[in-house]
Amino acid sequence: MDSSFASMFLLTLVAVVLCRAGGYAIGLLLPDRAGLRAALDLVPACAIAAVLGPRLVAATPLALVAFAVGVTLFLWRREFVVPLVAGCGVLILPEVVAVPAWLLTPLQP
Amino acid sequence: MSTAPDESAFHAAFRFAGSIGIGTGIFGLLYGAACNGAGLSLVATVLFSAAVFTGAAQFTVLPMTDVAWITVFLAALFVSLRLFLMSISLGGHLSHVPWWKQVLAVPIIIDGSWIAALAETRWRMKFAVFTIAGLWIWTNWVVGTALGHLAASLVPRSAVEALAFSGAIFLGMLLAMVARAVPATRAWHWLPSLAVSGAASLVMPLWVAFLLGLGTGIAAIVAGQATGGAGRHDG
Repeated sequence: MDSSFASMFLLTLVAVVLCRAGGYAIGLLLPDRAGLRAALDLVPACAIAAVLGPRLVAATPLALVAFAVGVTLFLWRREFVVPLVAGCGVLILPEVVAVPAWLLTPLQP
Repeated sequence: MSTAPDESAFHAAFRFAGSIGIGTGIFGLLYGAACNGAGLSLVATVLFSAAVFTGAAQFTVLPMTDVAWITVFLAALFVSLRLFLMSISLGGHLSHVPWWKQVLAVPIIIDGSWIAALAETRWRMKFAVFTIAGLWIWTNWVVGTALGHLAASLVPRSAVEALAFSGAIFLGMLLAMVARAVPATRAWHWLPSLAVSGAASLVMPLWVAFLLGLGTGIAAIVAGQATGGAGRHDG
């Protein structure tokens, strides 16, 4: 393991431990009010959505099709494996068949 | 999503997180292949995955070996913000178990284990369901990265690059799963975050777009509570 990777590893580990342990400690200290707890249960999904939004905007049409296929299959089947494999299948379609160039051009200029 | 009253913790954990674990393993295959492409050894890849256990942060910092340490640290911290928020949420769900069990549980806080604890409606079973789900997902992640590293030569680099977007598909499915784990009236509470962060990213730096999206979502939740839209949903 070279030194640059070792420092990257340690920095990432410290950041992730701080997030997990710090967040958990705060969660224990907060007052046990039903309304507050219900709100806190909803916030993490907003963070996931805020990460996802820019990725969708910057995606290629083919990637958006893969996303739609994956999420639609998930809503239908209620499990992760088949939808994820199907989405990945769409993503690697250009590896096996010729697809129009516009499908591989990001919508965002 | 609700739990049958007599369902075992194992059954409930696998119902909530069984396929998330396998999906995480598939995602781990891609990460392992990416690590191989970046020149990391198998041991380093597995150690990194086992200790850090969050694909988003690991993928983000992988190309940052020659970047200033503060940049790496802030990037990892920023990408892991959702873990911070999930951990705050979990503090309220797992506070009834002995403190040493809580300490041992903290390293396996991840999207799937958080959702499993959120969806489990029986308080006395929450910790068991959370732990089984977390360990299952962790095992799949570590094994997936190891296999991905070993099999990297079988997958063309262009395919690995194309599959980088699979993380977004995974996140989309997680959001759909959250929609099933919270009360129906708040199932799509994250849509304002998605829309605002996406639109903002067209004209602003990504980190600003993220914070705007997150802030919008929190504001929508608070507004919803003020109008009585949210209630205690985990019995």
